[in-house]
Formats: sequence, structure tokens, C-alpha cells
Amino acid sequence: MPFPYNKHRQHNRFYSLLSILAAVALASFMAALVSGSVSIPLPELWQQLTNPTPGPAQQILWEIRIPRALAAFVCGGLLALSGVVMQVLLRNPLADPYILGVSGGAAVGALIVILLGAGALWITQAAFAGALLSVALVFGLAARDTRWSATRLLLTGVVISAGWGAVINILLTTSSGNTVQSMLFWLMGDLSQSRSQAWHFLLLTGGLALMLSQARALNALARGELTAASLGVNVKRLKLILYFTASILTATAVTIAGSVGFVGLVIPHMLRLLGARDHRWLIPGSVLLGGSFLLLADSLARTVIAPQQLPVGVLTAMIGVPAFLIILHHGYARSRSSS
Amino acid sequence: MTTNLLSVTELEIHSPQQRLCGPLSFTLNPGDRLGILGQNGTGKTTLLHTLMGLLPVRHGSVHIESRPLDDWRGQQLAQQIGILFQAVPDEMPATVYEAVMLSRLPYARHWQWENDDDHAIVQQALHTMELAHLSTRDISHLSGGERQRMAIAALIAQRPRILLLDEPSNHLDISFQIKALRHLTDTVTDQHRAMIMATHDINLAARFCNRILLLTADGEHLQGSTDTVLGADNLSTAFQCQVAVVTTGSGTVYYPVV
Repeated sequence: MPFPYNKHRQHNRFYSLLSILAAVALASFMAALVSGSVSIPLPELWQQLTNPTPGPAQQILWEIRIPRALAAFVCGGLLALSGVVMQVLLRNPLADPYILGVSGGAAVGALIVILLGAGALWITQAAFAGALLSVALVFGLAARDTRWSATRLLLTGVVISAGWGAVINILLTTSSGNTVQSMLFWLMGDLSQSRSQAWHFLLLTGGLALMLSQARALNALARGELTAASLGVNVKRLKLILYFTASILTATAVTIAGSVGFVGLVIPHMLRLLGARDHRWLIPGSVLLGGSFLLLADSLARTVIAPQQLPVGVLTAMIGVPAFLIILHHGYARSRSSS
Repeated sequence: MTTNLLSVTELEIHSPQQRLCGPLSFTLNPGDRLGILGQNGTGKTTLLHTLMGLLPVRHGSVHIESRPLDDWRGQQLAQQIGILFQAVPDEMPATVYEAVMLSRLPYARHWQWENDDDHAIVQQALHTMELAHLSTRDISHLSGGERQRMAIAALIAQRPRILLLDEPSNHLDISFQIKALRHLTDTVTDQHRAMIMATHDINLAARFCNRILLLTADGEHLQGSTDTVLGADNLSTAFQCQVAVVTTGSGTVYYPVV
């Protein structure tokens, strides 16, 4: 009797999954570049990409759409990767990149700067500082003693998040109409002011490589800290790496686009339901799918009520909720029928 | 002279509040199968976790192959000593095959994938525990006994020289209790490994262990060969309950007297 598990078939399946995801990412880029309040048809897009000729199309493409598309992709990738890491670190399927208060701290920083009326650059820096403050605060409170548990980290993070929430509400209720509008856009997640920078991609690539190097240890940690430790994983060190990697990735994502919800929670689950439970597939798959997802959502955010723009966070939820429910239903049905 | 696999010297086992048992001293030689018996809360699991390096050694010392436990690096240690936990939570999804394959992690270098040997070892272990047909099933859909067989298959695939078993018969039907323990004890004797088994089943300990460590509620202990320790008086004192010992044609049977 042949063994019911075939290594090669399994690997081929995941390689094709990753290829499909890469193709989806490419298609999302194309879609993002052709669509908008001024449509650029594919032939013209191709010509502008290969041989830019000065004109309005070139300007729209190179100065607005490409930087924004790259920002959307990198932000989505960062959030999805951070989501995977948080879910293993806390071994809680409900964990998302914001669960430990990173977005709350960033929001307070950003909102204070918006309230003071400073420029966009300052918002980014204040958000990053706020995120780091929150990371340090949660770590100091939950992880000072060496045997910190996932539960303690989770509870501390949730409580700190709630604290930031209260501060955010104070800032919102004491601000005037116009300021509140831009605060709300920031809180919902918005890419209209976002431009990608080289270090965003460097960080995403670095985080991806670091997590891939730990992928088998992550598989073990997903079965619990004791199991991982008994298999020779240095759990204490791994948890520190995971906590700080996830925090930095999230802080960066938040400074690009505010707190875009849903990507970090749902993308890893979608891939797990498609069978990619092994982190060696789950990690690269999440980066590709998270990036594509946010890119598509942002294209829609720019176009559905053009020339008006919606905050992208609204779109991620509106696409993500039904898509996730469909996959959840199918994934559940399949695992039932195979058993 | 054969070097011993494990040597424990004056080891005290503590809970956060108090001393549970010890000071304990014993050595395990190749082929040894040590059974640990004792009431709830006497420190059996804590002792196993300490030997595994999951808890710090505070009083006394533990040497594996003559090297102090603290000097071992994680992966090397996991090639020497492996544990069957009493319970493993499964918060994240995985298939039976993936879960058993994890036990090959101690042999992997950074970035290295499982090789054909790893697959062969895992498939062999799954066959031994009669789980091959469940390989692709999600672990959350297993019965209690199937989960325990999966955990035993994982320990078999890990191939440590010292096997620590925490309640190995949990959830297993009687035929699998015998099959699993016979397989493990056969490997221990044939391949010159050693085994420590914490259990509540005196009969299994009597059948499969050549030595017994009996922990009593007051923090004292008795140790020695199975025949000398497992007497009605010793067991009755240790468990604070009348234990009867009956010798039948097919072996000795221990049971509590109501």
C-alpha cells in the first residue's frame, strides 16, 4: 500500500500555490496602475513603463500610482507577515498585528501631531515613536521576568490597547470638525498620502528572511512552548525575536498607512484554510497575498466613488469579510469530508 | 566499562511553594527502564520536566552522558533525550503527518528541509502506531487515544537515547497500551537506550520496568528493582490505600482493596 502522504505531490501543490499568488500580485499591480479617475489603458501603460514619454499619463503613473501601489503592497505584506508571527507567538488564532497595542500607541502619536497641525512627515515619525513606546511598555510590563507566558503578554497588550483607545477618544472628542476628519481617515487606514520608500522593502525582505530561517522552529512553537523546547528550540530567544520582529513590522506598516484592519488577521487564516499550515509556505504566501489584497483594496478605494476616495481600511473589511467566510465554509467542508 | 546514560545526584524537586521530593540519586544504564510511581502531586511530572531541561536544576545535579545538563545545546540535547508529554494543547492546525515530522527538528540544520530519511523514519513510526491511514487528518479531529498514539509516534521518530514517558497509557485501550509499551521497551533493550516512565498503572510498571522509584506523600521515596519495591506494604504506605498483590499464572497483579 503506498503511504497516503506524498512529499513530492505536497511540495508541487505548494509551489503552484506560491506561483499563483505571485501571478495574483503581478495582476494586482497591473490593475492598480491602469485604474483610477484617469484611466490608463494597458497598451499605454506598457509604453509608459518601458519608455516613459513626458505627459499627464507619465506624471500620474510615475509620481502617483506607482509609489502608492508599492506602498500598498509593502504595507499589506508587512501586516500579513506580522499577523502570522503574532498568531504563533500568542498561539491564538484571533491575534492580529495590533493586538499588543502597537497601533494604539502609533495612533496616539499621529493624532497628537494632527491636532497640533504639523505636516505629514511629522505624523509618520510620531506614529513610529508612539508604536515603539507601546512595544517597550508592553514588553516592560509583561516580559520583565524571564518566564513570561503568552497569556500574560496577550492580556497586558489588550489592556494597554484599551488604554490607548481611551486616549484616542479623548483626542477625538476634544478636536474640531476638520481635524477629526483627518484623524478618522488615519484611524481607519488610508493610503492616499502614502509613498513607499526603499527601507520599507528592505525591512519586509529582512523580516521575511529572518522568519523563513526560523520557519521550522515556528512550526514547533505552534504546538506549544513545551513541545518546542523539548525539540531543542531556544524558546526564550525565539519569543524575543518574534515579539520584536512583529512589533517593528507592524510599526512600519502603521506609519505607511495608519491602522489598516483585517489584513493581518485574515490573510494567514485564508492560507491555512487553503492547506498552507507549514510556516515555510505560510510565511511567503502571506506576504504575497497580503500585499496583493491591500493593493486591490486600495485600487477599489480610489475608484468606487471617484474622484472621491474611501479609506482603504473600509474596503479591506468589505472585501475581506465575505471572502474569508466563503473560504472558511469551504475549508471546513473539505476537512470534514476528508476525515 | 559502560558509561551510564543519565545520572542524577542529590536532586531535589520543588514546586514554587515547597519541596516535592528528593534528594534523589540514581543512574540509568543502557537498557534500563525505570518506573516512577506515586500519588498525585508527588512531583513525577516536575521530575521529568527537570530531567528534560525544561525546568532549572536548583538543588543537586543532572548529567547526561557524563555532561552536566546545562552544558548541552538544545538540538544536541533533543537527540539524547525526548519526552512524551501528558497533554499537548493544539491551538494551531496541523495534520498528523506534520505533527510527527516536527520530531525530526533536532536533526535539522538552519534552512534545511526534511530529507528522505526523515520521511522514512516518520512513516515507519506512523505504521508502528497504526496511524498511517490518518496521516493527512487534522489533529483536532483525532480521538483521545489517536492523539496519544500520535504523540508516541512522534517520540519514536525523534529517536532519543533516553525516553521520558509521562503517563504513556493515558487514553489508550488495553491492546494499544501493551503494543506501545512493548515496542518502546523493545527499542530500549535492543538499541541500548534507557527509559523513565511515570505512571499510575502499577501493573504496567511491573510488567515493563526493571526498576522502580516509588514516591510517597511525605516527600520520601523508595527505589530498587521492580520485585523488591513493588510489595503490598510499600505500595499501601505510598498510596495511603490498601493495595493487594496477587500472583496468577500469567504474572503478578496489583489492585486496590475497597
